[in-house]
Amino acid sequence: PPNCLPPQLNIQNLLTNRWCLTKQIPTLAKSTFQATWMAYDMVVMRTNPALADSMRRLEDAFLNCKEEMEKNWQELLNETKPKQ
Amino acid sequence: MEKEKPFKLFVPPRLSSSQVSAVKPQTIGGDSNFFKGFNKCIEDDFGLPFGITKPSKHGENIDTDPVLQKVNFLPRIEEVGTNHSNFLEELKNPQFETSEPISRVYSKLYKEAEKIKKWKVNIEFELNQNEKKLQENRKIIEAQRKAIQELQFENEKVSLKLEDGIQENKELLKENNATRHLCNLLKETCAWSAEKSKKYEYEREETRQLYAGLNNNLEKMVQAFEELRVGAESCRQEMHFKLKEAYEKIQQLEKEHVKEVRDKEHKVSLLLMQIDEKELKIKDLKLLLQEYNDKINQFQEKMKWQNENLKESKDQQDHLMSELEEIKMSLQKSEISQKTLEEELQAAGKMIILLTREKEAQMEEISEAKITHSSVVAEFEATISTLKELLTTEQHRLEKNEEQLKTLILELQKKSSELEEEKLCKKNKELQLEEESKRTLEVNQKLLKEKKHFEMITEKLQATEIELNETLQIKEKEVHDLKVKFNTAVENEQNYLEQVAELKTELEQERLKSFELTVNFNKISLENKQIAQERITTIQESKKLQKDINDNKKQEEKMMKQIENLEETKNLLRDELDAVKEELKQKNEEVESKLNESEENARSIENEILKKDKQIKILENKFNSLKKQMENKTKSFEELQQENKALKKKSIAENKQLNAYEIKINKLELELDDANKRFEEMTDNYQKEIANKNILEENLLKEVEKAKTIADEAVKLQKEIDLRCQHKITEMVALMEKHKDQYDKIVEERDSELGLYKNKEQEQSMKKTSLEIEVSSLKSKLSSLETQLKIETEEKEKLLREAKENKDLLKERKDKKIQTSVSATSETSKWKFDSKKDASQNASLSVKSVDCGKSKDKEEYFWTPAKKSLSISSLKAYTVKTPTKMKMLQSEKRNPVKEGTIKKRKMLFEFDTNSDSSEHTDLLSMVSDEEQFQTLYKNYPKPSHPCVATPKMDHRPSSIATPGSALKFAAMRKMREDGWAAVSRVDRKKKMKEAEKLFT
Repeated sequence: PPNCLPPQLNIQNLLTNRWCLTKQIPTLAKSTFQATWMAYDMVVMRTNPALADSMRRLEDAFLNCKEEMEKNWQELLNETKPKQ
Repeated sequence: MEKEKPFKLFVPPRLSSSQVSAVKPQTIGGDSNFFKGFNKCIEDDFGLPFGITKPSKHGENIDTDPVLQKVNFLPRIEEVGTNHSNFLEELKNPQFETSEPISRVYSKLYKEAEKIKKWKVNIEFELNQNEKKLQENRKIIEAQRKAIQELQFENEKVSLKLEDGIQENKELLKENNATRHLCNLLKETCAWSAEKSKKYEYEREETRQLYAGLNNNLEKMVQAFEELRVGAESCRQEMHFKLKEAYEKIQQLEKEHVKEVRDKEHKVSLLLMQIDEKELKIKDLKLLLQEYNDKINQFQEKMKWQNENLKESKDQQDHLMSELEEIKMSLQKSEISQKTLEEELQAAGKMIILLTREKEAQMEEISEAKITHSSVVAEFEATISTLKELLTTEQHRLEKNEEQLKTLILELQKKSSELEEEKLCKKNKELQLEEESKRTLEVNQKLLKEKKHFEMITEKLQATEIELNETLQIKEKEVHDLKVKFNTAVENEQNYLEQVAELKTELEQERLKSFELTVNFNKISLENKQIAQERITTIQESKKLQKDINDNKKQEEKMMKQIENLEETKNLLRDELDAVKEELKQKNEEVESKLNESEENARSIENEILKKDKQIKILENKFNSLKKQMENKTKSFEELQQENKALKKKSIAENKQLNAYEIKINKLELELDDANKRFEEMTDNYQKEIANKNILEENLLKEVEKAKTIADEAVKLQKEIDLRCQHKITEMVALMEKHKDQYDKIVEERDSELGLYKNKEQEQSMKKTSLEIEVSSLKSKLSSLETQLKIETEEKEKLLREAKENKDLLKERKDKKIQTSVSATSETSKWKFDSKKDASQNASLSVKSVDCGKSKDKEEYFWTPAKKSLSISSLKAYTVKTPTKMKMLQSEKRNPVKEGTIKKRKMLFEFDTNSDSSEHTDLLSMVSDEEQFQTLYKNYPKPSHPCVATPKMDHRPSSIATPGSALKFAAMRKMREDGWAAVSRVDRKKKMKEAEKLFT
């Protein structure tokens, strides 16, 4: 008969491994769930349209303000001048 | 694979157990050799009397098939043994008992020989049968050997598989370790990931807060920006409005300015007009000025005269004024003095009146007081006497007072002088007088008061009366003085009054004078006023005139300047005029010259005109001719025009047609353009489609490549799968073959069972046919006899050899023959049976009983080997029974097993599926395909495998079915495994090579 390692050890190893794996599966699942949740949260946060909208609104406001500010003097003159 | 090990390792002993005939020689090898030798001896013995053919066959039988003969021969051998013993006894007996007749012996021998012949014939028949059986058995054995070899090969295969399994196990162990390592890593990673996730969560929350803050900030910024924008808009609008307002204001201002400018311009124009007018006026005024100047000169002269007059009048006036002033001063003085005097007079009159009244009252009072005083004097005369002393004292005082009076008189004198002085300065003194009078009045009042006081004092103090009288006297004196003074004053007053009257008259005169003077003055003043007014008017006029003059002067100056300018311009113009005049003169000269020239030219032109008139006449003629030509030409032209009109109409029609054609052409061009555009669009679309299709082609090519790669991978996978399938097929085929072998085994077992039953039947038949058994016993006896015969022949030969050898010895030692024979027999017996008891029995039997004890000896002899045989048989039975028991057990177990074979096969499949969990589906699927594969591979593995697979399947059901008996079997297995391991280890390498050669 060929040299056989004692099967009990294998079984024990298997059992321990399986136990470890079974123990770590939920932890893994938790971690994966947390990671996915994190990713989802991050995605949600990153793809949050409110910020982009607010930024756009800010940009629009800024541009309007800038236009207004630039208008203020140029267009006033332009508005007044052509009448002459 | 692990589970298969025990089976396969357990196979060979099982084979031995199952194949009863095959196992026996191994187990009972010693016996066989023993019997071999025994048989050989017997054959050798038989060789002499019965020929050599039999033993050769027998020997062949023994050599070839020692194993198979055992079962059938054992009883026979026993019988032969018994016969042999009997025969030996019979043989021994004649040798030792030579006394009996040889004829009987021969007859017996003949009978025996005949019996032997019969027995031999029977034996030969049986031998032939046995030979046939042997051949069959040999074939079976060869088949079984082959089966064993194949089984060994299979074993080796299995061992290889086992090694593979071990390697797989090792790999699994490694994988296990790896998985454990992975587990640890997983743990670490889990912890790490948990920490990281916590960190990330914290960061996420932070980021979330930051995002919220950002949003808020952004919103604030947006609001701020919007507010800024709104503020900017509002500012802009405000600025816009302001600008508009400013602009409007500016416009208004501009308009106003424009209006003002216009007004100013109008004003300027008006002013210019006014200036013109004023210039005119100035001219008038200049005239007037001249007049006024004249007048002014006159007036100045008048003024000078009037001034002189004025100066004179002024001097007069001054004089008069001085006089007036003097007069006024004097008047004022006089008036003042008059007033003062009047007032003084009035006051003095009043005072006088008052004083007179008072003095009268005082006089009356004094008179009354005199009366009273006279009465009182009387009363006081008494006291006077008393007071005379006081008088004397007071006379001193009086003296002092007289001195004082003197001083006062001096002072009075001085005062009179002063009065005189004061007379000069009337007013002061009068005032002083008045004041003094007032003072006197006041003093009088005071004196009255003092008098009252004094009266009071006199009433209280009579002593003071004298003093008062004295004082009265003094005062009377003083009154006298005062009266004198008063008289003087009155006189003075009268003088003054006279003076006042005089002064009044003077005043009146002066007043009259002043009146006159005032009248004159008034007149003069009126005149003066008139003159002044006139003067003022004249001065105003003169001022106006002066202003006018000044203005006029300014204007004059301006005008003068203008005039100067004009004069300058005039000068310039004059210069120019001079120049122009000169030029004119020059031009006149030139013109004159030109006129002359032109006259000359005119003359020449007149000449030319005359010439040209002539020419004109000629030309008129020509013109007339040309007119005619023209008329002709006009006619032709009209005709041509008509033609032109016609042509024009035609051309218009043609133009219309042309227009229509052009429109058509345009339409066609438009259509062409549209078509071209459509064509271009179509081409573009087609190009786009082509491009898209090219892209699609590329994509498809990529997909095709991918598919190709996938196909290649699939082909590889197919190949791998094919290989796996082939492996599995082989495995499955092996399994199927195993199953077939199982079935075959079952069939064989059934056959064996049938054989057992048949044996049982045979036994029953044997029981039934006891005679046959007896025959068999006889046969065994015969065999034993044969063996005995053989032995005896051998003994005989030995004896003969010994006899030949010992002939000399017998000759020498005849007495010792028997002993040697006995010893020899004993030795042979000893060698034969390995039991000293038998030898001793034989010896005793041989010594003691020859004929009588034959039957007994036979019986005993028979018994002893019977015992032996029984013992041997018991041993055999044991050896035989063990497999039979096993067989029985197996059979007993298999009877239910056979009933539940299908279940166990299922179990087998389940086991297999459990063993190979990954491929169980394939196995199960392959099970269905097994039949197909069997059909496909019918010719290839079938012939080899049934024999090979038979042993395998024997044990599986047993091992599986009997878990309780597994422990027993495990011990057996271990023992057998050890044995087989020893064998296999020795021969493994060789067999491996062989197996590789065979199975590769």
